[in-house]
Parts: sequence; structure tokens; C-alpha cells
Amino acid sequence: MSAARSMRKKYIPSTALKIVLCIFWLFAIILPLIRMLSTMATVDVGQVLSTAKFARALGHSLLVTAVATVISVCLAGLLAWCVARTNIKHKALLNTLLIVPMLIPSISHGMGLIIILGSNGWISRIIGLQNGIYGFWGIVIGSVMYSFPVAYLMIYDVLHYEDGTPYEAGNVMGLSVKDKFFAITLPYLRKPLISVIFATFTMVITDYGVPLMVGGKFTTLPVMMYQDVIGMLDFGKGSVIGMIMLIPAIIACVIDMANRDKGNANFVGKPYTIKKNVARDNVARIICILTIILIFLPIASFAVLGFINKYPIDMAFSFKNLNQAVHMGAMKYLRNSVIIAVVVSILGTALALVNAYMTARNKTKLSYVLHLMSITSLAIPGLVLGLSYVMFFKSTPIYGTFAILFLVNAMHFFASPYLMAYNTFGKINENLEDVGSTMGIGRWGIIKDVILPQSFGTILEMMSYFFINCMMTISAVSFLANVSDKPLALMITQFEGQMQLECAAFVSLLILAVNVLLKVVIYFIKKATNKSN
Amino acid sequence: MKKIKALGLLLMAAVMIVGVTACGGNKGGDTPAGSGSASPAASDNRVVIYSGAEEYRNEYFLKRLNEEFPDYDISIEYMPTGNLAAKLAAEGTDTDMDIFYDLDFSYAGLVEQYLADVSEYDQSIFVDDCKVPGGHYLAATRNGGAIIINPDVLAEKGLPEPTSYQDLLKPEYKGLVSMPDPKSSGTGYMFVKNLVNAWGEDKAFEYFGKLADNILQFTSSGSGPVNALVNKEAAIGLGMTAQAVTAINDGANLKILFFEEGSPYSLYGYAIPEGKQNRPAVKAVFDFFYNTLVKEDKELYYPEQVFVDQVNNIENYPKNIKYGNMEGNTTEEKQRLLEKWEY
Amino acid sequence: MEKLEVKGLSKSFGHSEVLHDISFSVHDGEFLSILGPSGCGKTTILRILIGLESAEKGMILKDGVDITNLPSAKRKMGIVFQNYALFENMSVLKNVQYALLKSTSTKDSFNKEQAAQKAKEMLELVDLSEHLDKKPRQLSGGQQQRVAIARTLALNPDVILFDEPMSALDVDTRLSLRGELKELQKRFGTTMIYITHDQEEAFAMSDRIMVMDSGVIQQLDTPSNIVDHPANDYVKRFVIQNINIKINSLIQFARTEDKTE
Repeated sequence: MSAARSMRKKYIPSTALKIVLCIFWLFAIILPLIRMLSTMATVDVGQVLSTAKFARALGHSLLVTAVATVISVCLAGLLAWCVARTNIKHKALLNTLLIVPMLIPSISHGMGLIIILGSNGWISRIIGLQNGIYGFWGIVIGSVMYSFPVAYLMIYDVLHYEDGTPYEAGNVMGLSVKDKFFAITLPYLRKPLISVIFATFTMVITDYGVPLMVGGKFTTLPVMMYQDVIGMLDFGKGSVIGMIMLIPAIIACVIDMANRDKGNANFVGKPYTIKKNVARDNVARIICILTIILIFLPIASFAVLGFINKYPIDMAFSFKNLNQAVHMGAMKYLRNSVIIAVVVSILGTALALVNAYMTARNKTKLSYVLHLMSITSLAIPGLVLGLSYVMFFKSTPIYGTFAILFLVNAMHFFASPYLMAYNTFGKINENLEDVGSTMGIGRWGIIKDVILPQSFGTILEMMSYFFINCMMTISAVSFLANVSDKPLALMITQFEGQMQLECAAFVSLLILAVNVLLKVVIYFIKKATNKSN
Repeated sequence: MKKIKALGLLLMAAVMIVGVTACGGNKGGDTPAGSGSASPAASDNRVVIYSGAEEYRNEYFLKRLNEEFPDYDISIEYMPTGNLAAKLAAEGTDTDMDIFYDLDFSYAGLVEQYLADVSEYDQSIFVDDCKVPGGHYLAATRNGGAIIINPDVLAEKGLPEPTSYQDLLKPEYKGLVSMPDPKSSGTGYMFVKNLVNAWGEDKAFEYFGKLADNILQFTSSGSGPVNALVNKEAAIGLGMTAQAVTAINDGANLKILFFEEGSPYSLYGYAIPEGKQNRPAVKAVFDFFYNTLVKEDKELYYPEQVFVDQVNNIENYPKNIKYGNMEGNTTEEKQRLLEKWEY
Repeated sequence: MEKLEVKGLSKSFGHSEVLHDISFSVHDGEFLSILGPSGCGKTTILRILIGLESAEKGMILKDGVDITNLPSAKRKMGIVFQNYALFENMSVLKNVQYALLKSTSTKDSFNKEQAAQKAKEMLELVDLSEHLDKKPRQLSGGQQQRVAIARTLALNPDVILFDEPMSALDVDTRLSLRGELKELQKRFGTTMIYITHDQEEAFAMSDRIMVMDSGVIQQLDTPSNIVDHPANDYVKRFVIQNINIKINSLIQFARTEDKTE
């Protein structure tokens, strides 16, 4: 009897917490989605899916996403190797510069691309590109721009924390660089790489900012969905397409689960030792500098656009766009954005940590459910999530308040920070709680004193991920925000819709500035804590 | 342990930032953060207007409304017409919207079930095609379309000005034509409808099928083509006359052409979501639109004919526009035609 | 009285039974090895002994007292895991000091300074005085192992369980660590239960060896008795044959050692 009690004591709180989390997910994701999907009842799904137009959009989406994902992940892997595995200098600075593209909305990348590679883009003129990069390559380039930094961060993290001992063994055995890569690095990367590929894939396939701007006639699924929902008020058809876009996430989850717990015996190893090799370092430096120049081209063009009178008629320097944006309430909206970003970065991170703990370090059957829920949000296009929230929450008290914006953003951006925490927790010694419990140190004590401090860097990254994305998001909040809580990023579509590209550029720059500021703050916190250790 | 402390400090700082910015906002006279303007408890003299009109028009409205109703707390929020309709369709009457302005008739028809009855307003002031049979919304704006060109871009490529829709199919214009996507833009749709009426459905769709080869991009918004022309991204645009005039008056070198099929147009209306008409402040503002603001809007910005009694005095605005045939421009017809749209 | 008495322990995971009616006892101050291939149930016994897992049937007596249902922290037992489970964010000293300050069994008897003092003493015993301020990552595998042992010993358990603690270490470190472990056992008089799949290790260190296979005890006896009177074919095959191979290789190893010296 007392056995049952003592076991229950250990068991029940976490199970209860998991049930609470499941209920939370039910209301935050499942029920709103069901509400949205219920609009499908009026639609002949088979007919929607069998049209030539749908098949074409699906084909386009898959093609463009596959190509963009391959390029993104390869580029990210190459750069991560350049920074993590060489003696290149200013690693922290490189880490910051390389992720700048993920600090502005994807639609801004689209605009940036038009400025440099559009029909009248300045590079198009130099190289004599006739009709610009509208279409397939436009979408690929734009998608790589905003997605590779995410892949880069994930791969860099993995390489940075990889155990050095197998390499020492490899050196002893006289393995060549190539052999070591295929025998040690690749198998070690396999599991994280699958996560990276799916994260990138789902991110690209659900984006509509870039295809909307530079897609030309190359219609992708999100754009088609945008047309159906916004253009035709056909929520049912939109839902069908939204549901199709859910599929990659489900596949990702299945593969991730099948992939789990293999070769997870990680214990204290040695940091990877980087040998001296000047030639290799120089190559890495060139690659990094080249990439940074390329990714800064559209952003720089954009900065120019934000501070000229009227592109391309009157290229004089002016604060006109700044004044116009401020006059229209940019500062008030900036304040709203910062409130949302700060609150979501705290609450979202806390929720992601709790979820990841329950799935990575307290595995029961419910953990699989939680894991599925946690990464599903990755695949729900913002537009679908936003609309389903409108329908589900419209007669509740939180509707029309900041609270619903907090919630929708926390959910929309949940998967990536969750996966960061999940991976970090998974890598931390699996016996810590057991050893604690035999010593009479409770689970919470171990979490607070050992696991969270070890995850400090990850937690900072999670918070900044939420913050940055809340600053940038357009699709998820566009229906939910109202005049009193509208975030800044919505001004971009507002200006874009009214042909005020210069003002849109200025707002994008403002968002970029805030996000860069945050990154700088995070950088100094990391530096300070590294020193104190 | 230090890291935990650092994290704690960070959190505290974050909470303080939120606190300070939120409070700062309150002092500025905004609604308190977190209190919903959608809730029925919103103060009696608060009026939220969503508008599909351009920002400069909205600013003018706000200025006039503040003069007229100094005690009211009025805000005007721009929203693209499609988003506006989608918002209303999704929210129904549970919306923070008290009035909308400049929503495409075809969209207004789709959300008519959520709109208050405004049949008490006298419709005889409108020209015939602006009279609304259902009585749930009133005409505000006629948005005419035209073929707009950027002569500089054409000259650069050594190409002649097109003189007919058929000209646009010429291979030398490949990648130079910009048109709004009829599925997301009312402007795009009105060109389709106009040619369907002029030529018959089969011929019109065959035409757009060929035109698609020359199209650079189907822009999501109706203002996209003129935008692309100003930025020299395109040479020829199927766009909005009023926007082109504004761009010309701002210094862009554009030229407005009308082909023999006439200027396509679409009509935009204003209305009150059901239930909101019972609030006196909303009603008063709506009345002011009906009696004064819509007319001023036509005189100052969108001169195309809505009222029987109306003059067009805007610089560079084409006079005596010959309008195309837009008969049968109903919601059902739009849905039916767009089902056939494949591009 | 026996230090530990295990009676009729059974445990299944799902449909597969991993322990079937296990009974044995451990003498006070004894070094007992549990030897068996992976999946034979030896780790499960360990986890049940220390209370991280519960058995479906059976009971555990410690010093004659039923501890079957006692929370693990109250059993006065310690465990050293294969992967050490060190607190990587803390220095070597802090690893031990933290355990002393937070453990329910010791936290009332130490303030911060006293805990640090005690931790230093324990780390001196395992010869780590020079590494107090290092992080675990900066230590070799053997050194990390010794931190884990010091941390466990500091809490003064009367039984320490080892879960294949040396499987990740190189041969040299293993040999020296074996000696140290026996040394510590003598000094503290702690009962030690040691899990391994390495026959040679079991024979070198143990007072008695418990050979397991498929959730059942095959033989429990002193090393010499097992060699002289293997209980069944399995023991013969798994233990005796393997040990001969190992001993031969060990002899060779010893010879090369001689040469290099």
C-alpha cells in the first residue's frame, strides 16, 4: 500500500502536469484548428484537390521548397562548419551577422530582392537580367535568405557541442578528414539534421511573404490559400490547402519519433579541439565574408530605400518616410510590438521549457502526444492559425485584447524554441534526476540548480527567437490585432498595399533595429556569463 | 548559480520594460493595454472605422471627424479591402469594427448578412448603378481602371505604346505587363468582368490565357501594377486610374490610356455591422459620412461618378471617362468566373 | 544479520519479464559483483534496490528492516552511474558541496563552509585536490569517475551501487581505479554492489559474484568456487571460457607493460 503511495508521489505530479498541458494544447491549437477545418464541411475536398491549379501550386511549392531547403541546409552546414570548426576570429560577431536576415519579415526580403534583382533592380541592370528574378529563382533566393540562418543556428549548436573524443580516437586510428566526416560527424549529425531539414522545409513551404512579392506567376500553396481566403473569402478551400501544408509537420514528427533514442548515450566528453590550419581558416573566412556581403545586399538596398524621397524618381536623402511612419503611429505600434515580444518571450519560453522537459526527460506515452502538439505549430501557416483563432475565440473575453496576441504568437513560434530546449535537455546527462533522487535532492532542485543553468545559453536563444519573431510576424496577427494593440509589422503590409514601398522599408528597418538591439543585449549577457564561469 | 541570477535580472528588466511602455501608452490617452475595444463595455463615444481607402484619405476623414465630433474617440484603421472582408466574414458581428468604408461591393455582398439595415437613407442622390438593392450598405466610391504605361520604360526598350487589348499580347511585351490577381484584387477582377461582358466569356478567358504569357506578375493588391510602373518594374499595367493620377501628380512619368472596351470600374461601399447601429455615436458618424464626408472625398480624391450631382476638378484626372460594360457584377457571378480563373 | 536481503523479486516491462523471482543476500562490507550480458536484468535489480524502480513482487530488507517501499533518498544507499551524472555546470568542489548542502540526509548537518571542508576532504581521498575548481568537462574519464565516487561517498551511504562504472574507460584507468575502489571500500567499510558485463573485472574485485542471465540468477558464489564448480553450462560458457581469453590477453598486456618500463 505504501509502495503504491510512494510510487504515486513520484509519478502523479508529472502526469497531472502533462494532462494540464494537453488540455492547454487542446484549447490553444486543436479546437481552433477544428473550428477552422469545420468550414471545410461546405467544400468538396476532392474537387479542390483535383483541380489543375491546385496540382500546379502543390508542384511549385514542393519544388521550390525542396530546392530552397537543400540550398539552405547545405549553406548553413558549410557556414556552421566554417565558424565552429576553424580558428576563425570574431566568432561571436560572425554568429550575429550571419543571422541578421532572420531579423526582418520574409515579405521585406521579397521587397529587398525586387530592389536589387527585380526587372528594374540595380543588379539586374548591371548584369542585364531582362525580367528580373520573378518566379522560381526569386522564391528560392528569398526563401534561402530568411531560412538559412535558422538552419545555421541549429547546426552550429550541434557542431559546437559535439564531443571531441571520437575525433581523438579517429586521429589515433589515422582516419583522414573525409573518413572522419563520414564516420563521425555525419552519423552524429544525422538526427539533428533531420530536425533541421524539416524545420527549414516547413518554414519555407508555409511562407507567403516572399512568393507574394517575387513569385510572379509561380503560384505556391500559401499564395493560393491567401487568394482563396482573402480574395474569395473561401475559408473552406483555404482550410483544405492549410491542411495539406500540415502534412510535412506530421511526417517530420513521425520521422523524429522513429529516430529517437538511438545513440543517445551522451556523457561528459571533451570539447572538440580545433587543429591549427591557416589555409582552412582562410577559406572559411572567405566563405563567411562572401555570404555576409550577399545577405546584406538586399538589406542595404533596403536601408537606402527607407531614407530616400521616392524610388526611383527622386533619390534624394530624406526623413520623409520616417516622419510619415511616425505620423501614422509607428511609435505606438512599436510599443505594442515590444510589449507582445517581451511577454511572449517570457511566457513562451517558460511553456516551451516545461513541455520540452516533459517530453525529453520524463518520457511516458503522454510525452509523445505533447511532442506532437509542440512541433505541430511549426506547420500551421500563420494565416490559418490567425483565422482559426478569430473563429474560435471571437466571443471570448480575451478576443480583441493583447492576451490573444500573446497566445497566438506563442503558439505560432512555439516549435523552434521547443526543439532547442528538447535537444538541449536530451543531451544533458540522463541520470541527473535519478542521482538526485537517490541523494534526496528533488527533481525541481536538480532542474533549478543543474539542468536550467546548463541550458542557460539555450534559454537565451529561445527567448530571443520568440522576441524576434513576434516583432516580425504579419500573417498570424493580421486578423487578431485591432486599433489599440496593432503591432508594428502590420504597417509593412499597410504601406505595401498602398504602394508606399519606402515607408514599408523604413518600418522593416525599425524592426531590424530593435531585433539587432536585442541580439546585442543577448550577446553581452552571454559574454558576461561566460566570463563569470 | 550566476546564470540563474542573470536570467532573473533579465526577466525583471523585461517586466519593467513592459510595465513602463504599457503605462506610458496609457498616459498618451490610448485605451489601456489589454482592455478590448471589441467588448461591449467599450465607452459610448468610441468609434472604430476600418477603411479600404488610402491613408491620405483616411487622414482627411479623421481630421474632419475630430472637428465635427470633438468629444468622440474616433480611430480609422486602413485595411486592404480583401482583408477587411475576411475579417468581417470571420468575426461576424463579434467585431471591434463600428463602420467600414470603401469595401468592394462584391465583398460587401458576401458579408451582407452581418450588416445593419441602412435602407432608410435616401438612395436617389446616387447615379443608377450606385443604388444598392439590398439596403445594407451605401455607395461611396467608383474605382475606375485604365491601361497605364510608363513611357520611359517603353522608350528604353524601343517599344510602341499599345492601343488595344490585343496589342498587349504581342511577344515584345513579354514580361512587361503587370496585372492585379483577380482572386485577391477587385481591380483585377473588374478587368476580367469588363472583357467578359464586352467579348463573351470564352473569348475573354482565351484572351487572358494568352495574356498570362506576357504578365510579369499577378500582383496581390490592386495598387500593385501602378506601383510596379512607378518603380519601373513593369512597362504596362492594368491598374487604377485614381492611383495613376496621384502618382503622376507626385512626379512619376505615367500615361493613362483607355481602350475601346471602356474603363472597367468597381464600386465601393460603406456600412455598419449589425448591432452597432444602435449606438448613437456610431450612427452620428455614419450620418456625417452620408451627408458630408463621402461628397468631400469625391471632390478631393476620387472624382469618378457616384452621385447624380458631382464634378471632377482634380488636376490631370481624365475627364468624361467612357465606362465599360460592368453589368451583372454580382457576388455569385464573381465566384463563378473566378472558379474558372486558372492563373 | 545480512546487510541486504532480497526476496522473490519479479519485474516485467510490458509483456516481457526482466526479473524472475530473484532472491539473494549481501553481507556487510562485502564487494558483490552482478555479472551478466546486457539485457539480463542486472541494471533493473540495481534500480529496484535503490528505489528508482519498483518491483511487482518481492521485498528488500536492509539490516533486517523492510525498505521495499522507502523513497530512495531514505535508504542510505548511493549509486554511481556509468555516465557519472556529474553536475556539469558546477566545479568539482561544488559537485560534492552541493550534494552535501541539498541532500535530505546531510543538509541539516552542514553549513556552506563545513560542506566545502567536507567536500575537500572527500576529494582528497580520491586524489583530486588539484582539480577542485575545474569543471567536469576539463577532467579525464577516470577523474570524472572519481568525482562521482567522492560525491556519493560524501553522503556517507552504507551501501554503494555501481552501474557498469568503468565501461567507458581505457584499460589503464580501469586497472588503477579498481585498486582505488577496493582501497576506499576497506577504508569506509562500505558494502558495494558492482554491476558489470566484464568477467575479468568481476573476478578481480569481488568477494562474491552473482552470474545472471535472462532475469534469473545462474550462480552466486565466490570467484574460486565459480571457477571450480560452475553451476551449469551457461556459467561455464559465459564465465569460464571468457575469463580464460581475458586472462591470456591480460598476461600479454602485463608483458608489454614490463617491456616499456
